[in-house]
Amino acid sequence: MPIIVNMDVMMARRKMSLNELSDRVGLTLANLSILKTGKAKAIRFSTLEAICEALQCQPADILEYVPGEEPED
Amino acid sequence: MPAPQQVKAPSPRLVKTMNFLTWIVYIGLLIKAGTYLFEYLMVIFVPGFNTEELSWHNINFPELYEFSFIHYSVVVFFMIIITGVKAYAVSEVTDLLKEKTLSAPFRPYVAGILMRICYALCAVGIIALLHNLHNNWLRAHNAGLKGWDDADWLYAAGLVYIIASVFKRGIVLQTENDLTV
Repeated sequence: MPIIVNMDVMMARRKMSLNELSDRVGLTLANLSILKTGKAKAIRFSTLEAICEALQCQPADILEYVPGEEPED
Repeated sequence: MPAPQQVKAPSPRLVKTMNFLTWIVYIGLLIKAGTYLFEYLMVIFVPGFNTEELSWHNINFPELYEFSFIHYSVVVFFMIIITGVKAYAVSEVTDLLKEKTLSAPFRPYVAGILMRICYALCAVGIIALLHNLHNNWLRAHNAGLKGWDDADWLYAAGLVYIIASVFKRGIVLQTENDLTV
């Protein structure tokens, strides 16, 4: 997908594990993993808001548009 | 946008009844196919064997056998194949009515079952069409049997295909929904 999720980069910068983020955001590990690995088809504003709040960043720090990226599925 | 309507799922009792009836139809069709095969062999190997008196379908196999062995074999082959493919379609329906399938119906596996049912019905329609063409020729030579409803089966296949296509769209939406975080 042309939208790349850079959540792992922000998590590394904040030194936050997936478990900790899961606790703070209130999402299951499975759903966070779907998001982190780029398998997600959509993200709710509420989820994005919670992640931005937990990682203290902007949506653009997590999501990036890369033109010409082929769909994975 | 209007509010979505509440849809009631069929009760487990109704599903069980449908499953039971489907199994009866499946076994019945297998018995029917077996009977055709049995009568076919009996007419060949037992002289004087009268299928019209014995079986429920009132088909005079010996008369056809006397007319031509090849035509007789072709007709019975068509009848066995049609009944067998119908049984296959019903066996797929029994798969569809399994509790495991109904617990999560919007899956590629279920769409595959629907498509196989569609192809089976289509095959029944096409074979019935060939059988009827052959039968019309036999009737012209005073040896024909009653025909099969080919158009009805093709119509049913078309309907199932449309349902399967809508179902596939449902699977795409369900997958997207599952992958929304």
